[in-house]
Amino acid sequence: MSALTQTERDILAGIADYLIPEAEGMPSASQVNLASELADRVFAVRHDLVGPVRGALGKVPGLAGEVAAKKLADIDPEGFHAITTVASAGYFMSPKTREALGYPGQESRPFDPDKTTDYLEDGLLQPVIDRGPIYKPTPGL
Amino acid sequence: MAKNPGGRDEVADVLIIGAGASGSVAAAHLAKAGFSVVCLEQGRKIDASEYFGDKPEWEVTSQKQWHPNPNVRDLDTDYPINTDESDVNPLMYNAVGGSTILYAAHWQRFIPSDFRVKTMDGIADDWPFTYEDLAPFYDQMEEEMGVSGLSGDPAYPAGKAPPLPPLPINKIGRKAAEGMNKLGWHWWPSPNSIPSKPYRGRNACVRRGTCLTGCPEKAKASMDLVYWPDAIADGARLITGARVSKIETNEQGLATGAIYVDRSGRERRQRANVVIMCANSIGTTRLLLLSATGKASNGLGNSSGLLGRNLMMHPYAAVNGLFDEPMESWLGPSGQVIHSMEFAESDPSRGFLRGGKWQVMPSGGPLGLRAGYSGKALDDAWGANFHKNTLRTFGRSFEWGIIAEDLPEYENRVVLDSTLTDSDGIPSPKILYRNAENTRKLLDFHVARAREAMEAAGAIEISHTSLMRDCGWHLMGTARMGNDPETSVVDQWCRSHDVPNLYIMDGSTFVTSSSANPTATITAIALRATKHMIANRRNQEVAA
Ligand SMILES: Cc1cc2nc3c(=O)[nH]c(=O)nc-3n(C[C@H](O)[C@H](O)[C@H](O)COP(=O)(O)OP(=O)(O)OC[C@H]3O[C@@H](n4cnc5c(N)ncnc54)[C@H](O)[C@@H]3O)c2cc1C
Ligand code: SF4
Repeated sequence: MSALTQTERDILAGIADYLIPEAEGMPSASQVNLASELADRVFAVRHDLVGPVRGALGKVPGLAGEVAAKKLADIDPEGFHAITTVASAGYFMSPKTREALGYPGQESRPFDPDKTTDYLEDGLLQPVIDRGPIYKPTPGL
Repeated sequence: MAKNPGGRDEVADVLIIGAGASGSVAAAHLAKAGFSVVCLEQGRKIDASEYFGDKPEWEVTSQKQWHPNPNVRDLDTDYPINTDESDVNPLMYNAVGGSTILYAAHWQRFIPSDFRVKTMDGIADDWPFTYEDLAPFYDQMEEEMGVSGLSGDPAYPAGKAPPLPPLPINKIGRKAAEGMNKLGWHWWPSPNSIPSKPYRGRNACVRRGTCLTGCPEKAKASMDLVYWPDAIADGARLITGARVSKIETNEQGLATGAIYVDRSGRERRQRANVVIMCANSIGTTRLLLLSATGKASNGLGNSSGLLGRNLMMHPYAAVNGLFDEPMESWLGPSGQVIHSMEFAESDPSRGFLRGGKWQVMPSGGPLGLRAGYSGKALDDAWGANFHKNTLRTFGRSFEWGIIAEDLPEYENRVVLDSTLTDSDGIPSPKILYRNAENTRKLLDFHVARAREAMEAAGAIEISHTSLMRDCGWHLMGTARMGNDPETSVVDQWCRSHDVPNLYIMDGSTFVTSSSANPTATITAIALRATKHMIANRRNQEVAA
């Protein structure tokens, strides 16, 4: 079952495109299918956002994105915060966004455990070693 | 009426309350030594596939169901905590593994002076043992947890090397280290209970950087993985969904077991010869206060009146630096990459006593960065600026996190709330906690120094948070240990001065807080006390 009606989805799409337009080489919210697809993925793991988002969208029927966003920020900060959370969270989940950002996600990046001490080879740690102990000893106290 | 599980009239040798860091260590070692062990844990067992670290939904779930603040998560397995009168929110996780499910696995020892604060600085109190007394148990815990690290840190006495080679310090660690070198300040590649190589059934870390929301790779040393498979194989019985409401005592004032509520809402009784509290500083205090009897009217084991007092939560500040080069600052481990103890020792000329520990950690994903914009004007936060801000900062910044040593304050405490309860109707705790003057001065000094360190590292923009509210990761105090029953709740073996078969092995027993992350010390103390209990099993007084 879908979390939003088509009407709600359309309002969300408008607001999301105002919040996240195409600019600076980054895609817009609608270019990554935010309202039509990613929002549902967010709602699937964050049921707590559905109520506040629907409540907020119901307060701005027929308003265009920017006007709706500004009105909600004013009259329903909590609902507006839920909308911005869904918009930004869904947006950053998109592979298209991640590619444009150069962010591979929290990927698996194995390493060679026997080659992690580059700071010993290039001397970065040497000054710390050379300065010697810095703790206050306590035996006898 | 309360029933024993399965109708059996079993009297366990030892009953452990809480399957977190300390409870798991005690359970595994006692079961191995042949004790019959029952552990009651209110949470459930979590499977690594439930974590979102390897899924795109990771960040948005970290703001709710995987948030470290139980009041935000609001799960049935959590109990709500009244924080209206606290400067800091206590953080924890309630499940098999306890808070180690979410911990960052910084496996840091305390420094020697931490155990001698009264002698060295004339404030607070000394511990009933020294760093040297604890050192062999630190060694053994590092072995059991599979700590990765580099030996020779000059902030510590020489000792045994960690069992695994260090994790990579990545670009952010190198950048931070360059700044420290310019200033001539201490830094060191950090010890973490995260295996750099496959270790005792756990996988090697693959740097997802999501340790704070659970490790999907079964790499991080959380106690559900490290101890419970062996403990259960050795006969320990772990009862999940068991929410303890009271520790019971007999006429002689000896502990006889506990009452708990199971997930079908039934009240049950588990009898035992010895009870060990491992529910963390807040959970343990709550239960002992709830276990007041006619004789112990202000809480069980509380003849000193100190139960719940001297709560320490390590106030935390952060200094963020932005650099004009990409540093992949989302890359794990998360985990600390490097730490500094340059300002961990006291220097009274700074205008405050004791010190702070610093560490560098990865910055997380792009959504986390947005959280800071909630207070901004719409046009600044959104539209083209949304992209500009993200592109300028994401992957190009890191943070020096600063843990302040929190001194014990009598008025900082855990009490029972008069109205709030958990989902089983058991009264919830309330936290009364204010930052002391010493802490505020300490944090101001450290933030100023960390800003210098960022500048030296070449940051083009520096910002800081003087005190994070959601920073109560480290719960300590509330049942301090000591030799004098009038000024402490337990002795150096974690045994209650009042109730000889009641033990407290979690962070409640801390006399002072150090500025180092506490779990290496919590577990070393639990291990020391458990071994002592095993060695002295014949002398243990129990209820008839
Ligand atoms: C997000 C986060 C990050 C952290 N990072 C670090 C770190 O990097 N390094 C470090 O040293 N420490 C870290 N910590 C702290 C560390 O997790 C704790 O110090 C450690 O887990 C405390 O161990 P414990 O045994 O005292 O309690 P816990 O591990 O908190 O376990 C207590 C257990 O008792 C159970 N319990 C409580 N009340 C009841 C009841 N009434 N009935 C039944 N069961 C009950 C709880 O469900 C829980 O499972 C972090 C903590 C958090 C939350
Ligand atoms: S960084 Fe390593 S330990 Fe942490 S979540 Fe990733 S794989 Fe697990």
